[in-house]
Amino acid sequence: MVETGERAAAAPPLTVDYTGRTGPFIRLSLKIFLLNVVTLTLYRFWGRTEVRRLLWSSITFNGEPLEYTGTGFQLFVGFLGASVFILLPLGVGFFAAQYGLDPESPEQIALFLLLEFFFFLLLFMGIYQAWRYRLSRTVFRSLRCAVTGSSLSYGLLCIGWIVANAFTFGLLTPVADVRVMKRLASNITFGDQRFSFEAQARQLYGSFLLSVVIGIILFTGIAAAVVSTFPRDLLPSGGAAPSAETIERFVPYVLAVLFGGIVAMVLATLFYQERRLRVFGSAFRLGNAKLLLDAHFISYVRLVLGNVLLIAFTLGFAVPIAEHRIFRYIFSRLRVEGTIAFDAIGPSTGPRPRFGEGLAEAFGFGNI
Amino acid sequence: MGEGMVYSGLFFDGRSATPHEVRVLFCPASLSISGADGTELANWRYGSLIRLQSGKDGGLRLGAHGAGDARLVLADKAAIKELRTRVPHLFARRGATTVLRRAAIFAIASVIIIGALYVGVPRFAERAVAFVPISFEKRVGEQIFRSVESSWNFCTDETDTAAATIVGGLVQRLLAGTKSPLPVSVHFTNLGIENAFALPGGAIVVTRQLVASMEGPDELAGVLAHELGHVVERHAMIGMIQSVGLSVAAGVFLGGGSGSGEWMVSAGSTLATLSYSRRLEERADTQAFVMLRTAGITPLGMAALFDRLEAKAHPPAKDKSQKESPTADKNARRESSIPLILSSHPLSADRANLARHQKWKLGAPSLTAKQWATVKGVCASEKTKPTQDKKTKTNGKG
Repeated sequence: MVETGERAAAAPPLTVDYTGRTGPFIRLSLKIFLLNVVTLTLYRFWGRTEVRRLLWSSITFNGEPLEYTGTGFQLFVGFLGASVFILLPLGVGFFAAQYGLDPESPEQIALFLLLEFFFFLLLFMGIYQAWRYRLSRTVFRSLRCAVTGSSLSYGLLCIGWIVANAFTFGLLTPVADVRVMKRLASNITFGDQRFSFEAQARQLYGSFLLSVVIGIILFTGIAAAVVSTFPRDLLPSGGAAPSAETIERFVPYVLAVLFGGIVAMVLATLFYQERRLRVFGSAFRLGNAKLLLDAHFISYVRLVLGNVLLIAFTLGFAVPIAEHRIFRYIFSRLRVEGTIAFDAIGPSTGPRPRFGEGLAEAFGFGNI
Repeated sequence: MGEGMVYSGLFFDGRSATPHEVRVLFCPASLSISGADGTELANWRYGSLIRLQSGKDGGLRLGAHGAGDARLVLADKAAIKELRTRVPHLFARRGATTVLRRAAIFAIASVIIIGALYVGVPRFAERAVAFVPISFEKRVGEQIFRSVESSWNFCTDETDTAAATIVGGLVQRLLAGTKSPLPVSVHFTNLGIENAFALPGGAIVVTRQLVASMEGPDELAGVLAHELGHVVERHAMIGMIQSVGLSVAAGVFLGGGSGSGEWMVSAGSTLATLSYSRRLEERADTQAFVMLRTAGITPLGMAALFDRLEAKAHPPAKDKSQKESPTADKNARRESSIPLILSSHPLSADRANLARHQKWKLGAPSLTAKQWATVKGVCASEKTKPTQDKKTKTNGKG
């Protein structure tokens, strides 16, 4: 029950619950699919809004639901703006670079690099702006959230870490993940109170290295298994260079190794992914309160594999159902330690963009 | 007991997260929300009320347009009953009719947008080509040429170069009255099909098979004039702008990654491209007639070519006089099975008729017999493809 005023200080801890059921999500998925077909996907902005409304309102704190106050129209306008004013010039730039400059010339290569840089910068800025929109439309007890900070500096941060990570063959991944997440998370506010994000890369390195090692072992195992099925005559016999036909016969084996290898590595990363979810989910603080996420490996794997199969076998139709499963997983395992002094929280002064998510939708990241 | 009933509720004013116990009064046109001390905290007109999803606490949650994020939670069953009587629209189930109406609006909007694209993109491409510098188009053409050079067997030995020079002379004669924005070059290739096309940048490619099928130099003049019509109006570039424009429009419409509508939009844009290319082909024909007339060459050669294409597409019942080659049969079957809406060219029969009705005057022959023989011998050194050479008979019409 809702506690008022003075009694809040002695209130029992906040309970977090997820009350959504799969049935309504199945019905919603069907409705959205049909409307998308009829409208050549023009409906997708409104569909997305309906899914979010259902997801958000399934999350309750002490029985009070979260609210999503965004509209499909705002998403639509945001998308149009981003497409026309950002994607279009970028596309024209690529086209002009492709045909307007001598191929392989230093000018063309430089221009392509510059355009690629802008492409990724805009991508990451779009992600930040999408969160800003979504959270500014997230309301609890009539107070809304916000994301402060600059999307530009977030974009540059992401690119910086990608480059740094590339130079270290991916070994900086936990550090990059924490830094990037922290930048976003520590800019999130509820009302006028800011969240803090207390996660350390060292909490993730154990499972990261475990994932890497298991990935290598699995990959080697698969490669060895495939090689052992080579016909005798394909093995190198010293001296003569292989003919084109011989090389062609290698192709299915190479593909098998690549495919198997990718599957193996994806499975191996599940260790890291689960740990990262648990650490990140337990890193949020608001005032004296700590959010903690009780995720576990087996249940996480069931969630991920279930969603992969769900989406693959329904050709994308079941995305809202997959999201419902994710939200259910997270919010039924989330608990709050300490109390949130709701009385002390004032209204938000953070940014509230009028239209949303244009860049993210234009890049195809509008989903969630 | 009618008006004046006061109920209790919980109010969140949007300025803090503290719930306030309030008194809710149903006024004639609005809901009045007052604090325990009687001061009115909010007054919400019934028409502005919004109903939100309820939580497990069971209360009815209300907001109002213009009231920001403020919320009123009513748990009192009697209050909810009174609300239902005064503001029925809050409780109306969003029935199938609303969904259908929405779907209809969206569907109509989509159709309008697609229609606008179908009509607007080609027009835009025509205007936009004026802004594309010639140097850019030449570069595009060079790139395309370079990319097909290896897979298309271009004929480049001595006979071919001689033929190209002869044809170049004919091209200059055809271009006499017209100013071409692009430099024209003619290339012969052994592609296995009877065709000719104009690339961006001014290169014209004619296949050996097409030359072999011709019965006189006037037919070649007609084909060249038609391709020159494309070059002079920069149709290849317009076509490129159009397909880029349509794919950009499709991308804007569909956004990134959503499979279901893509095939429909791409089908629509293919139809649009084809219809527009028919228009461009008609324009090239018109230009060709003008060029032929100015150069003093009869358009009947062109007509004969179209007649032959038409005959292959719709062969007369028992025509044993011509030995049809297997490839020509395949080409004919291909053309006859394509309905107009899917064809990139207007009907051959129509084009033939149009050609026959053109006014013309006779000037010097398009090519001398010796020149024609050289041109007919083009691509002799390339490996021959299945098409058999037609017997050359000089056309009595000159």
